[in-house]
Amino acid sequence: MKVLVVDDSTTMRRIICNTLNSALKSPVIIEAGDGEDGFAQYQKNTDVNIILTDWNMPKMNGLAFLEKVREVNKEVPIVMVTTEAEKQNVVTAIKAGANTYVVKPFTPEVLQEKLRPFLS
Amino acid sequence: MNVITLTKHASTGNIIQGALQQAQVPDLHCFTVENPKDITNQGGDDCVVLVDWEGDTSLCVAYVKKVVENNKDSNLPVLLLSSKQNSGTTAEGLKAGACGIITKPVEPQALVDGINAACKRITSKQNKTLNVEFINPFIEATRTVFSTMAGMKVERKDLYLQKNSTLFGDISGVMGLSGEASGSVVISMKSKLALQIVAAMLQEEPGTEITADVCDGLGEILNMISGQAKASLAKTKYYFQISIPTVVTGKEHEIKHRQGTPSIVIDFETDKGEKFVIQVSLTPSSSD
Ligand SMILES: [Mg+2]
Repeated sequence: MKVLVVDDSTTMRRIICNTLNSALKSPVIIEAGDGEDGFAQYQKNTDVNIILTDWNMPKMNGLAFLEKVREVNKEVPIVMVTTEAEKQNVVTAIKAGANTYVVKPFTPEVLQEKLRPFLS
Repeated sequence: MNVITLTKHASTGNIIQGALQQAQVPDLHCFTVENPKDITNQGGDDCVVLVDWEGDTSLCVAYVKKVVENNKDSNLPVLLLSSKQNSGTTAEGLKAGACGIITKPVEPQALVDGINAACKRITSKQNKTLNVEFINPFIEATRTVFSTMAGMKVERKDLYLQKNSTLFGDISGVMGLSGEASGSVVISMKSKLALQIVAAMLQEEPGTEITADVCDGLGEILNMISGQAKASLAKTKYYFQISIPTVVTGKEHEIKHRQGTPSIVIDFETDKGEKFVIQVSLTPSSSD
């Protein structure tokens, strides 16, 4: 399984990777630190099975990144993992094409549970 | 009532004590000290410092600053004891943080009134500014983020107005807030705690050095605290948008808040007794 993880925090990416590594058998994880880099990585890896993205990032935020990916790929599951917890933001992200939404802070169990439907 | 007189002359201390006894101040304890470093408020509300305003003005200013700085957590009121001849320079003492002037020779009733006013001024200032609706969401968010991400129980200790811009810790995260309300939020702690938190987030053993990864981890903690507080403040006049956190390291670094915006400090302690602070400065834009 190939996963693209986009978050400007290296710590957060490592936490997410830890969860993916324990939930999946030897996943291939590609990391990016902002939406711009995330989209570049996506273009190099259009075969990714799932994308996890933060919202607040420099250069290009997660919402803009999500919209860019959806312009070219309507299928790939995209999970928003963000501290933006307001209902209106969740709605905005889902409307823009996010499949699910994980609010930071989260425990590894919560993240795993949210990802489960997309990891099989 | 504890009254501490900072003076080189024991006689001045005696005059103050005599005046207060004459005014029959209940439960009175008077002390005379020569050095500002000997003044530490043990946390009682009923304490005031009188700085003898005579001799070298710059030394007097330094003394006032020192007493205010050393007791900023308890907002200890400082009054100047000045003769009419020296009154030309007392403005400098007020600028340094004193909150009033008692004129020498001391009149018992004027002294008592001055002390009462000073104590009330500090208290009412505190109550007015600290009774702020936007603080609780930050306290709640801090608790949740620490327990969820690092498995740490943290307890809120004191809440007070920030007096200067030197931060508590040697590593601090700062984030600008903008939108319907604007300001900033800071988290500051000692390196040791930052190392523990980031290690706990990653379920690793703590390192010994502040690395870019540790800074990143602390920034993300601040990001989550602000994010959660922001969600709780949606639909209030304190609603804000967050930005990308910045982390600053080094002993005694300073972070400037916007001028004229009161900055509120919240002291926290972890279950292992480690201290850290969250500092919030937030003003609704409409009242700008
Ligand atoms: Mg981020």
